[in-house]
Amino acid sequence: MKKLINDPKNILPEMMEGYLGVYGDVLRQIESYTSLVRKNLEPGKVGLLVGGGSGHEPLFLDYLGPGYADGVAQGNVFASPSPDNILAVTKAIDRGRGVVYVFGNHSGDNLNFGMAAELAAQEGIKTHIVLVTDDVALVPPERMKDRRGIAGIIYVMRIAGAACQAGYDLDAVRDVAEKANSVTRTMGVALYPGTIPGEPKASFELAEDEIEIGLGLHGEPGARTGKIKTADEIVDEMVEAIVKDVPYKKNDDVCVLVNGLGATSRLELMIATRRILQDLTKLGIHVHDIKVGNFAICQEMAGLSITMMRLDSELMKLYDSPCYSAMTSQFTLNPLRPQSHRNSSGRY
Amino acid sequence: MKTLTAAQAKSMMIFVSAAMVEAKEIMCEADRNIGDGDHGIGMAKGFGAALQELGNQDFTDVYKVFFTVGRTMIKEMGGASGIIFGTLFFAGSKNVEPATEIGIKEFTTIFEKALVEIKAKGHASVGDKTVVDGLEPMVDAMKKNAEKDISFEEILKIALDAATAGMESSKQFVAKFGRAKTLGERAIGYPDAGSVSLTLIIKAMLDWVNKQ
Repeated sequence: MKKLINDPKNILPEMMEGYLGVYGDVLRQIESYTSLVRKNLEPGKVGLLVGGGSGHEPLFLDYLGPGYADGVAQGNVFASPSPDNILAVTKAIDRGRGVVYVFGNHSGDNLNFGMAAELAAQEGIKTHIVLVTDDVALVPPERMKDRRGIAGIIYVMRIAGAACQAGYDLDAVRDVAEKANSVTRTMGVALYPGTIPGEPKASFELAEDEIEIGLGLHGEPGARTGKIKTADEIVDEMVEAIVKDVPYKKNDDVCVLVNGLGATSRLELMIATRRILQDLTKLGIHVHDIKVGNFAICQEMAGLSITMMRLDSELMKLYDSPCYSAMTSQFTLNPLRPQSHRNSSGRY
Repeated sequence: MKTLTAAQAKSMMIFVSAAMVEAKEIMCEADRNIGDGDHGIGMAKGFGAALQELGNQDFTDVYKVFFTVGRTMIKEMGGASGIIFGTLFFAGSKNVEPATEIGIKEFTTIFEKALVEIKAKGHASVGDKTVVDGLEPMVDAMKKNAEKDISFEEILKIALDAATAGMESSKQFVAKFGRAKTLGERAIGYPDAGSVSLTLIIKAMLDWVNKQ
């Protein structure tokens, strides 16, 4: 696989160097780790630490900012950060009110964040863990806690970050983030697999007419392999799997995230988005907001994931609160578009 | 060889670490079958860092050698394997009285403590397609023989046979943890990558002993 890299050993440090060249005015690196924290943290707030393996950019780094994460503990490509790494970020963002860890439910992240929480407790820092378990593809809803975390983390950390900014205490931030997770669902389909930079082979194989249904974000195979179909047929299946899982009902307010996986053209994503909106209109589900782009990727994987979060009044208030990050243009209200217009169309 | 001194332990773990760095692609391939193919990357990174740490120090305490390897792997690797394989060396070497040399019994206890802690941390049992599939039968076999008057060569041979049999048996299991979990029945026929790595570690230890 061709990649625009130098020595594979230097992928992370070189990526960080570039990143800090762009965002070094507002972010700083944690010494000896490829992790970043915000400069000028507001005093007296609960800290939000998110993290996991790298290789999913813009996840996690581009979600650092007020109303989002305060620190990102980043591991190697698709591998959890170490406990020592997470602890260093925890200490950097704790302002005496504790730190909430939000991460996707994967074995490595559970083990490393779990040990980091123990180390933090030994140093007198209180932490809470919020696991993101949004993937509907593989595990039945009654075993929700065993589900993987994929693109739904974008919503869970947005809500947690908004709650931190709103002055919620440690328990309350955890509770509202867990509520967000409980009403967030994602389904993904891959057309082509991704590769780990520097590795010779793709992480799974697909024939020219095959798709992987229920993909993971690390190149691991999904639930099953199926035949390629039309965009509408694929989207219909995905929306059905998501909607019946929560379930989402008529007149529910939802946010929708249409996530390319790294190599899907915007043209294709918009074709899929058109069908998602048709399906939701038919079901009478109200789209409060919809975003289309690359939010959490798996290198050059092609395909898409669809995420929905159901909003109650608390979640809607937090979701609509101000936030700033490298992804700001994707997630704040468009100032060029009046609020009234946005509401009348149901989206913008 | 019936005892292992601190200097010998250092020499052995340097040999093992170098062998594991060398085995990167074998471990990646084992992981690629049913995981995401990065297991060897993390292991090579962790053992590479351990190699450097060991080289920087002189040791008078055998346990400090294993402690250094384990703690360095936990700190430097990340991923599930960082904690799990770090714990393999760390669990039995933390909070113990220093020893200038150890025998077969103490050597076995290191792996016994590792098994207990890895099972507790990962909530895994034999049959879940994890490193426990190799480690538990390995520790059982070592414990059965640890009281006998045998050499390091013999105990490591026993350990390797049991770990290899355990690794082979993991082929028939459906995974309960890690990325292979998502595959269900599709994981059958492939060994757990962690139990493959365990056999590589024990094999390297045996190779080092044979060279003495």
